[in-house]
Amino acid sequence: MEKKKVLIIIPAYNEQNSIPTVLRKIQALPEQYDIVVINDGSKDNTSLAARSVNGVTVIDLPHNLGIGGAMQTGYIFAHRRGYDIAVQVDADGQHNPDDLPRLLAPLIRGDVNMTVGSRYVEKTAYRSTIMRRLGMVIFSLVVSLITGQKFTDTTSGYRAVDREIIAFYGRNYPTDYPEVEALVLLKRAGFRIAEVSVGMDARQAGTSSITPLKSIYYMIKVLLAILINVVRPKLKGA
Amino acid sequence: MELTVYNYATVISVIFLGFVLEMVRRYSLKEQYSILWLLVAALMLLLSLKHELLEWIAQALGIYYAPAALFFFGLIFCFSLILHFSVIISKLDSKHTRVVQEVALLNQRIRELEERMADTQPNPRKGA
Repeated sequence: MEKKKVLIIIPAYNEQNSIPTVLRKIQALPEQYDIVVINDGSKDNTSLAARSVNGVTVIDLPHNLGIGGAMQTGYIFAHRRGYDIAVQVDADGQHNPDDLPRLLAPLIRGDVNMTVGSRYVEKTAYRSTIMRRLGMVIFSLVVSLITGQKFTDTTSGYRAVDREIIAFYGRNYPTDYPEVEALVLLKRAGFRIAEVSVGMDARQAGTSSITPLKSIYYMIKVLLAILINVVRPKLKGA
Repeated sequence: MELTVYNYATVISVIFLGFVLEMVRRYSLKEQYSILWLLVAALMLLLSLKHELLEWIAQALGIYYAPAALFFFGLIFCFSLILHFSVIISKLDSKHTRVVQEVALLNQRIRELEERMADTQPNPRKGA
């Protein structure tokens, strides 16, 4: 079997302290992967910090687009460079690079179009606040109902996709809080998705972008987006 | 001439019409966006001059004070226009995102090419 070209996409906004560690951890894996960092108009030295690690491609957005626009930039890059698989990994260090092979295996076998690293498929060490858990339970309930597939961790940003979804993402990618909405979009376009159990660490540095007020907006925006999706015409898959 | 609401509405309509045309002349307002405003100005002028028309419409709608009908239509128009602008902003937002992405990707390619050039040509600046 031919070896698949894998690209790791790391969106980063003001992550100068954690990004070098994350990059080195990925490079320390037995398998070598290409890495692209999308610096989403950071106000700190994220770009320099990422460039300080050898063999990493850095794309600087002229100004902040938000996670959706930044991730899509990475997927367009992956599409144009002809990558077979793209993995998105957070810049804050909460995604454990050791889980990468597990995330990639189903895609390399061609079983599914996408894998999502889930903290809840099996009991893992991950814990979070009650409010956060509540939001996640609601999302997973709604998404599972709409798509007819059980999803335990809809907000997880640790995911890998194949060539077809890379192309699809280049054309359509949700903005703002894209993870949950992307699942609904992809399922409705006919893609196959599987959850894979991963462990997640607490953030290494920086603060979560989600404040209490934002989390209310997050809930409303995401629920509206996925419900509206149902009454929209289906997007073409491949 | 008696100073009634219709008289100064006529004056305001004429000034407004002139103002819109002047903006188009100075390229501050694009022709395609001006058509809407010219229509509004013309309608305002018509209703101010032929106030029987407005009174008739008001009566048909059960509005006792005819000029209130003007406010009513004005408000509906403003709401539709603001909604229209939100749609335009959403479209511009998507387009802007794509442009920013392209700029970033192009910058990365230029950087890559420059690095490759620097590797092959020791001093590219002095080359003819």
